[in-house]
Amino acid sequence: MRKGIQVLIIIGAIALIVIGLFHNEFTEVIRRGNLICFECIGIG
Amino acid sequence: MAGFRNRWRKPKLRKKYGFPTIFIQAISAFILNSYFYVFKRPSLYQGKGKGLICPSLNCYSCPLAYTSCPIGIMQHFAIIRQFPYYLLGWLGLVGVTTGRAQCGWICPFGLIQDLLYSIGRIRLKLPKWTIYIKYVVLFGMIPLSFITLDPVFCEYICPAGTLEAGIPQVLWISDYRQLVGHLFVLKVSILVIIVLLSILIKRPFCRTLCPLGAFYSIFNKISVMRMKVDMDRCIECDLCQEVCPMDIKIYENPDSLECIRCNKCIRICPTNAISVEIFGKEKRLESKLVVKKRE
Repeated sequence: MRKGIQVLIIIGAIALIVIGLFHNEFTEVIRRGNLICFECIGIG
Repeated sequence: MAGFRNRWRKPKLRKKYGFPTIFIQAISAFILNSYFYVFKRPSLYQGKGKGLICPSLNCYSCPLAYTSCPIGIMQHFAIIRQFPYYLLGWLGLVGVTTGRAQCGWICPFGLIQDLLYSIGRIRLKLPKWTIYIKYVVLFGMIPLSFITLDPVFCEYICPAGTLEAGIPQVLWISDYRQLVGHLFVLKVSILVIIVLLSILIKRPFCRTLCPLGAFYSIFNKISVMRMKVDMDRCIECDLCQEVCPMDIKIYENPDSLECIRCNKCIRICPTNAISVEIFGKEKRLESKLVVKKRE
């Protein structure tokens, strides 16, 4: 039962990653990560 | 169990039990924050590495950071009103394989709290209800970011961001120093409070406020890597709780949502009652503790 759930979540997670890559989310994460976050540094 | 109780006496703790974990935590923190080219051109790393999401809390505005912070990205996707498939898939994959192990082995801010606690002399306990605050933070920050269009956790709470990005960037870049105001003072105050509490209490931020820890904890009960306690061997000496960075008694609930799988309890257990289970297969590590038999 537990193994079944684990396998299902792993497959689901990989599917989500693939869908995300098709939605250009990797590029969006790069874009956000490359900008300095003024809120994070407390001057936003 | 009674037999074990009679044969062993509670040993004194030695500092060596935590060595491998702290060593790996330090290496991880170094790898995640090793963009030393920044010393030639003050700013931050801007490359494809930022497309990778760090499995632990590590601010992407840290001048040395190579990867992106999952909590920052989660709020960013709420702000741009887009469902974060890639982020949730990645965090789900990490969570289902290792549970909260990232908190114990990778997180740089966890390492800082562990080191601060090791220098303290006075020990305080957290009230139990405080461990639920992090779930309020996790499930509150996403709708708040969605409504206010601001990364509220990063902006008003995150002490890791203040320590890794805020203070270095403000000290380093003179233009940012001109912009320092009430918000920076608030964030530094929160960081100072967390630092002071870390000297007295085990990992106060991870246990009460960290939304990423709250997210991973949901997977603790079903993760591939799990803790196992042989209750026939356990003598309930509570040494596991003494060394546990999250202050839990692992024998009460090996699947505890608070367990960060740091394995310190395995190395300290005098009867080798605790083991780790990966894909249903038990991996038994030898205890590093030498105990004397009762005479």
